[in-house]
Amino acid sequence: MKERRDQTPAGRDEVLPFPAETDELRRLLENDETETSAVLREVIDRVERESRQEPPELGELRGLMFGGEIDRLNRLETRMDDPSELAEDVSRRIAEGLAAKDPRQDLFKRALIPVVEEAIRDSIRRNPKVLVDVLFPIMGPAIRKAIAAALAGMVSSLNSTLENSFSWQGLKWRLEARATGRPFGEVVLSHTLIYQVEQVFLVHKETGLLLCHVTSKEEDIRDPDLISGMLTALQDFVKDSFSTDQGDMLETMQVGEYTVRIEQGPAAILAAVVRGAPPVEVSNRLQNALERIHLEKGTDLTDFEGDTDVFEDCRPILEECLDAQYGAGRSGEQSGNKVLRLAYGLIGVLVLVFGTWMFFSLRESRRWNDFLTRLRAEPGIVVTDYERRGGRYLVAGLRDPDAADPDALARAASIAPDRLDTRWEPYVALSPKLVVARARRMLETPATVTTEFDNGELKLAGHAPHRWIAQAVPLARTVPGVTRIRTDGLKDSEREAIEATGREIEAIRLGFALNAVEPLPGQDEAIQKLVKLLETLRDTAKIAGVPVSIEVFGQADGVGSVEYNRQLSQRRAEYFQKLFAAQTGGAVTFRAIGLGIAATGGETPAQRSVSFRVSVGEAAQVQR
Amino acid sequence: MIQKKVCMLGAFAVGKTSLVARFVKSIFSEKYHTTVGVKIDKKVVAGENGDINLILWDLYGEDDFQKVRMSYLRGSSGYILVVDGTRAATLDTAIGLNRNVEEAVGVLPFVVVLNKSDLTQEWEIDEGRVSQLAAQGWSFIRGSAKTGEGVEEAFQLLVEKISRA
Ligand SMILES: Nc1nc2c(ncn2[C@@H]2O[C@H](COP(=O)(O)OP(=O)(O)OP(=O)(O)O)[C@@H](O)[C@H]2O)c(=O)[nH]1
Ligand SMILES: [Mg+2]
Repeated sequence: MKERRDQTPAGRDEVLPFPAETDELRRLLENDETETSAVLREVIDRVERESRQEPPELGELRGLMFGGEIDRLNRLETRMDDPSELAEDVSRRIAEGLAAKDPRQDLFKRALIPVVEEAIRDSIRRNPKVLVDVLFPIMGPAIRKAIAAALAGMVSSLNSTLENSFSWQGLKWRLEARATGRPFGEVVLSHTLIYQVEQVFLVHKETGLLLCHVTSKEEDIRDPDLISGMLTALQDFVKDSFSTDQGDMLETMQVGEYTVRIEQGPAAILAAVVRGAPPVEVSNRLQNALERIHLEKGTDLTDFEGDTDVFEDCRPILEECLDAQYGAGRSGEQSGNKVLRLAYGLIGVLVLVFGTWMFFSLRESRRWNDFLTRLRAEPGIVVTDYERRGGRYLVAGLRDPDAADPDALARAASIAPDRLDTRWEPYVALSPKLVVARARRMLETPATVTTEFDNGELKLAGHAPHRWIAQAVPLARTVPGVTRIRTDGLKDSEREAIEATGREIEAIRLGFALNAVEPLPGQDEAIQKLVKLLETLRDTAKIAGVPVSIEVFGQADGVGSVEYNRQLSQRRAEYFQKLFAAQTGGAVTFRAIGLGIAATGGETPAQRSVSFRVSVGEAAQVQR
Repeated sequence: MIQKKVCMLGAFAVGKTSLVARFVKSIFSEKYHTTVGVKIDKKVVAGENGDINLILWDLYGEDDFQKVRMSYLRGSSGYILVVDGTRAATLDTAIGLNRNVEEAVGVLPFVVVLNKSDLTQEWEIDEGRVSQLAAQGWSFIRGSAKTGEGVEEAFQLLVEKISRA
């Protein structure tokens, strides 16, 4: 366009005054392309209209004068009317415009940039794979070249260092040969084998299914399709665990003396199991193969439904990747491989570290899980929230003060309490276990008492001191969760002791001589025993706070008058009443009752006696 | 041969690994070794149009601290949801996992195995919930990795569902 403007004034302007329209047309053509077609049409119409109104001579004259111009206008018209020609024209102009060095055209380029960028961004946003797939065959080789260059640099810079540090290797090999009994040559060979690609897997990326597999070994390789699946699973794991970036993928793995190199394509993965340390060329070859497979089997890969037969044709491509190289006599390269071996060794260490980390993290996770399960199963504890933050754990919830100790549960689950933060809101749980625990705590229940809780009813059973029973039974009704109590299984242990002592006392009977008020001599032992029993009775009664009363019955034989005997029996009873009342110091009340002549009748010495009856509790009060 | 990837999903210790071992090797062990990451196994089964090589991905069980990563489900043709019949909560885990799968990779054929059917005394799964889920289209199979009951059927049913999908 530039040339045209330069040409026109110089070439014709002075000679032929052009009609105004043509000028306008030219101006438009030269300046504003966007409006050109509309204005052009109008101009051409006008020219036509006028030419029709004019006498033919004028037309001829015009033809003679402006013949070239009219032709040009006609050509322009057809060009503008035909969309394909117009399109071709416009696109050529845009191309010229973009190629131009003119700074004004630069503006055009700059204006285009955001549009193109937006379009690409939009495409990526909608489906990133489309663009990646398109770029893969182009970018693959470029990236490979860059990596190869970087690696070569690293290798050569480290070469000399390693050459020296590994110089004692020959001696080591000899020792190894002697130790294992293998020929020295074999040992050297096994060590100088730089690498051998033993197996190549073509794996469908999305499903992890094995599409094709080749091996350099004679014997059958076990379960290549399981290996293929594992590789994919590992990839997924590494991707999920270590990178946020979609592009980062597991590329190399060290499994014993094997290195697994993994090359990623958009729809398939190529994994090579290499013995030794593979040089960059191996990766290059794999990449090339992968690109070819994508090119040839692109649609089979994207439409894969599980049918692997179609990938049989990939076998030759994979077989090309199987190769080996021995490093004997090629010291430089060998050292390079040592560097790589070192690098892969490092990766191996990383894998090991990572595996250990996995193990511990998993074991810990199980422990926490166990702890949480225990906590949740514990009545009176409600976990409302838990969180794992850094290495610490936070558990929050509700806890009845009578529930189990969470720290003890943590210890039981092998968790250090110092890594555990807990926040418990107190609450009252109504589960049976908690009601029982609460009741025991509130009532200060002695170990001899059992507590059972069922449907609102608290059942107390077993032996307890009298005082405890007196306090606990009314208090039990106030324990949250308890609506009824049952105490029929509850035994007053002191009362029982008193009763037992009472029975022993009641078994004692003291004899008298005829007419005597004091007991017959020779009964000291019985009296001593009586005194002991009374002391026990007194002490227990005091502790328990239970009233105890003893009736002392005096009896006489049938010798003499009834009245005489009544008095005699009364005096015999009173004798003991006085004796014992002093002994027990008021804790036990005594009543002397003269029964007169013993009901057994006759006149035997056995009738002359004193015996006792012991009453406890309410019965004792009545006695008073 | 046609290959299909199938995942084993469920809460921890429900018996995923045991079901695979029963199905593939016809063995059972009372010992519990939790699965770390993924274990892969395979078995050739008869499909409607010839044999199918099932590649079984036995995933680690879900617990409170380890959610199952959905990326393992990528490319799966279907999955077996395993529930421990003696632990009602594992049914909830299965429901949650199923929801996650449908959100992450879409609707896939699946079969639910109510495992440990030999432990009838300790059975905890409520029949009502099962029939409710069955009404939503869930396929349940009561089975036991220990006795072998229902194991073959579960995988066969899944294969049929996959071939029809
Ligand atoms: N009685 C009985 N026990 C079973 C059955 N299936 C599995 N078990 C036992 O349940 C425990 C867990 O089994 P696994 O198969 O390891 O469980 P898993 O789901 O793989 O567990 P993770 O890998 O930790 O998620 C083991 O002790 C098995 O012996 C069954 O059908 N009956
Ligand atoms: Mg397992």
